[in-house]
Amino acid sequence: MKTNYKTIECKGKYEMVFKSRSVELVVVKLAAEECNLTLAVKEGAGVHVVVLGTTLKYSVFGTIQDKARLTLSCLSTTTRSQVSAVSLQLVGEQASVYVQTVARSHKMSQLDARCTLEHVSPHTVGRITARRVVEDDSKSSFSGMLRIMPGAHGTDTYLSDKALTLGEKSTAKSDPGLEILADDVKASHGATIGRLSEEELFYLRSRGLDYTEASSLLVEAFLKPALIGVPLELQQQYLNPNF
Amino acid sequence: MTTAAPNQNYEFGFHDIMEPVYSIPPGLSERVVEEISHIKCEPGWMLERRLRALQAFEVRQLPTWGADLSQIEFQKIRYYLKPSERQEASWDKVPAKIKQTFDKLGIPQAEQKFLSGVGAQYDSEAVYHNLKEEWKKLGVIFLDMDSALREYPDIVKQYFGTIIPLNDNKFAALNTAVWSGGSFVYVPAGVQVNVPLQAYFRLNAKNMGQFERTLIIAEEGSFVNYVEGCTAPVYAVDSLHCAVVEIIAKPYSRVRYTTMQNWSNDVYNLVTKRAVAEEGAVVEWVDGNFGSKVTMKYPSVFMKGRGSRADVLSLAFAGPGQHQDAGAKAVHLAADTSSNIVSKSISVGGGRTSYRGLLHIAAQAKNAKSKVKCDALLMDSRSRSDTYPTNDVRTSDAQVEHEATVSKIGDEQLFYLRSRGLTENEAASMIVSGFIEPIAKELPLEYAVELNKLINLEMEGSVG
Repeated sequence: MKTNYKTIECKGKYEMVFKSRSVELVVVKLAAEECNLTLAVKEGAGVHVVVLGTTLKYSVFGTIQDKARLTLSCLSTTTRSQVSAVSLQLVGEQASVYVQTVARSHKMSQLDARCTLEHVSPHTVGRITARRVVEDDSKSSFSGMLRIMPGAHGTDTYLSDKALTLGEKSTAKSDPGLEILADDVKASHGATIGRLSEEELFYLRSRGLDYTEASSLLVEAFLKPALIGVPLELQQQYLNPNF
Repeated sequence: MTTAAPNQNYEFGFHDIMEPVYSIPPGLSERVVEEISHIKCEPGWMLERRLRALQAFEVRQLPTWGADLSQIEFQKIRYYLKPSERQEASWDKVPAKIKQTFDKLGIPQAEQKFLSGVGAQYDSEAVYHNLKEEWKKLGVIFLDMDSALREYPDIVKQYFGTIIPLNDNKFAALNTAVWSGGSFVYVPAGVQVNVPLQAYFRLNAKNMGQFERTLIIAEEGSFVNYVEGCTAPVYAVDSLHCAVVEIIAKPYSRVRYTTMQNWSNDVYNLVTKRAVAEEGAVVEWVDGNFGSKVTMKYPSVFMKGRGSRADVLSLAFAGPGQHQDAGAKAVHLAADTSSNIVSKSISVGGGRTSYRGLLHIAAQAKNAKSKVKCDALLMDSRSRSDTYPTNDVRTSDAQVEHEATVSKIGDEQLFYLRSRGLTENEAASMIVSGFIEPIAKELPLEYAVELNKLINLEMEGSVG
């Protein structure tokens, strides 16, 4: 069953306004060296925006109003370099945002990804799930910030950043940050950097899969939690190494 | 006035500590630094170091990150106080709140006077004397830094400034220029010092300074546990405390350095603490920050030797008007190293705690493991908690975990305890004690007991 969605090409600056109570799934293909995407999600809307691309630089800026929900999936593969900045503000009460960042770095690329969530009103929910696979000699850096302003009580926010260093010379950097100025909140973050589990690899190989197949499978499992809601054909395209 | 023991190897051949004709006025200049060195009868190399550090201090800018240091007036501070001058504080001038805290913590009268700078010397001579004999037998050297420079100039020269160079940061430069007091600890190879060395023992007004410089050298296979500070508030006339602690942990040694800091609420506490761990060595920092207006302190361990280990336990408490910007730095420079950082902070009444940490795994540090856990308790809506960790991993086989949580005291937990007959304050205090328990249990018993009393005191009236 194919999900219905709109595909848009972003060739620089692009602004999207999601009307009150609308429900949409939009795929944005970044087609220029530098792209800026602005999103405005009005009251009660439920929106999923999937951003795809290998551009050098992109930024996403968004505001989410009362009771609206935004899921933002950013899928990127880099062979040269990429600098990305995502900045989202939960302006309305009971707004929620789920950011999923998936990044695969190859060759000698350098990735610098930033993601900031700002909770301004009460009872908002924020989630940032970042999964990065760092291969060959590439470098991958992720910098997150969960900021809870005074008055944003009842906030529930969590950042999870995991990096998988597969290549001999791959390196990763992770700077998850928290700035909390309201007290009745649930805020936490977790970050891990490591390799594939030897045990899991061994298990799959003992079942007849060769090393490449086994590690592909484990990498796919690693990235899945950050691909929730993304249309299947896009997921296949992304997970297939020839993307 | 004390007389220094004559030292045959002493360069200048002085036999007495000379007092200056006039007191050193507030402000910082080459003249002041020269006077300080002159009063202490230091060897030429130390004076030269001090002057170079002063130049570095003047060139460097204030850090652009961290707490707000813009209010410090460097030219209004007195950089050296003669011992006799320190006793001028009068008991009447000690703030009432401090006196109340002393009473509530059950501090004896003599200690109270000492802690508030009124008494000349807290006399713990009897206890200290017996321990001194034991240490002498083992070959352990435990002196104040000024005496160590006079009596063991060669060892001091070998290690001083090797861990924290004079231009490391603005405040390390300041300390190197005007340092006075602090401890010197040398533990010979294979010696295990089982009784914690407490700075408190050999503290007297002369040694408790704003610019302490501590140097600890643990030779191969040795163990030492150094404890400084106290949970009772220290009333300081000085507004800037800028200390430097250097630790050298030779192969297979273990050094634990515990600090409990509770400076009065108008003090800027800016400390640089760093240890180098060689092969198989273990360095443990236990860091408690309760007082001061601003604290910026990041105990670090540079794991230079294979298989070395860093363990940091950090506890920060920020009440009204306080900003505790603390954390830890673990730098893995060799293979098979591991680090563990646990940070717990509590902000109440508008206080602000920030955890600032660095985990760096260099390219040659194969098979490194690190775990960082920061928990923060925000007691009310006026307070603030931040976490700014950096994890920079240059190898591909490291195992790194980092987690941080911020929460407030759960309503259900409070309700449960209140339904068992505790008042709201007692319930909150009990929960906070439980929150800090993993760190409190690593402290010597007297400290843990005082710590709990102090927390209860600070928490009074702050729930709700």
